[in-house]
Amino acid sequence: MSEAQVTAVASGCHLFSGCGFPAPSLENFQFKPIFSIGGFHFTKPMLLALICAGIVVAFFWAAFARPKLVPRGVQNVGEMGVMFIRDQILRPTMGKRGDRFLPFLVSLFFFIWFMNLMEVIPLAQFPATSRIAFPWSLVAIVWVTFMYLGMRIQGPVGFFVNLVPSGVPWWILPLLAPIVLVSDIVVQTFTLGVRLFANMFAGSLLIGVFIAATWYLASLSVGAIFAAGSFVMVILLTAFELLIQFLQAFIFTILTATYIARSLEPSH
Amino acid sequence: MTGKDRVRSPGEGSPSPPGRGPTNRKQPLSGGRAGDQNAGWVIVSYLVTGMVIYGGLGWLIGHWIDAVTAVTLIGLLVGLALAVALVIFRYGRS
Repeated sequence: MSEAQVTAVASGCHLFSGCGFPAPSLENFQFKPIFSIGGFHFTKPMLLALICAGIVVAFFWAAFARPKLVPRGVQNVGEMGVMFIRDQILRPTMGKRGDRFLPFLVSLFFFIWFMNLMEVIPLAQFPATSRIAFPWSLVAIVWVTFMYLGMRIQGPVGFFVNLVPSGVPWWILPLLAPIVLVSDIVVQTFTLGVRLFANMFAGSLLIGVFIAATWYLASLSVGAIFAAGSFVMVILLTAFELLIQFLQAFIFTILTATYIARSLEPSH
Repeated sequence: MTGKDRVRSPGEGSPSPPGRGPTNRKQPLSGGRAGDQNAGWVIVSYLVTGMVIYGGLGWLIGHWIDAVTAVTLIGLLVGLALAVALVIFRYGRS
């Protein structure tokens, strides 16, 4: 909660008590440092990201450290996760030859999904991906990956030439080439990060609005009905957010797979 | 369904260890399918990029000749038209 909301809750700020609605704001996404080293401030989103990375590593380590031919327990769950990524994301986009990218895509999907899930985990209650630095970092990794692969496999010039669709008349090519180059290299990766950030940011803000409204509307008068309605919205939106969290991780990963596939083999 | 109860299809096995996935050099990558799955996002990206590039160009030229609104609008329309043409060249002829 922001400083204003903490004050509002502590002072018993409700409807008809003379105070305004303590709406969530950008302050809810700013955190006091847990500790600082010089100019570097370690905050809650960083801690959550580290925890999520640790969970992903620990989970797959536990699943595949001693794999059995007939999987049981954690290995079974781990295999379901890996095969979901392989069969729903990797194979449809890259085919069997893209299997070497399976570890990357599995790590990416589960890291993003766990960071998104932090929004609904008690005590955490904040999706690290709603701070745009985290999606940008992942986008940077994806961008470097598909640019490097594209230039290595198709050649530095061939990669850019192959981005332009075949069959384009020569006289219009100079006009279309800038659109293709900027779109495929800049805009699509830009939107990859913004899409994830915006969905998580908006979802977190929306749930915060209804949680604050539940408290603000709670009173012994007619406000109790509205508070109950607001609470129901919190439940519904939390369920909806669970779907969105998974979906955004899936979309990020499948688009990553698509960009890598385009680098490995030009699409005309 | 537990692991021992799950029936595996003939071609299905445990996931390969990292870095040693099965390869089939005779099977081409599904670059075309990758493009189709991404088509919606690509089309939107082309439309936005076209309007931004040529709208921006129109804005710059408009500033130079002191007719910002008109030339920017022309640039936006030209960018949109070129983007639509690009979409047709890429997806409309398959």
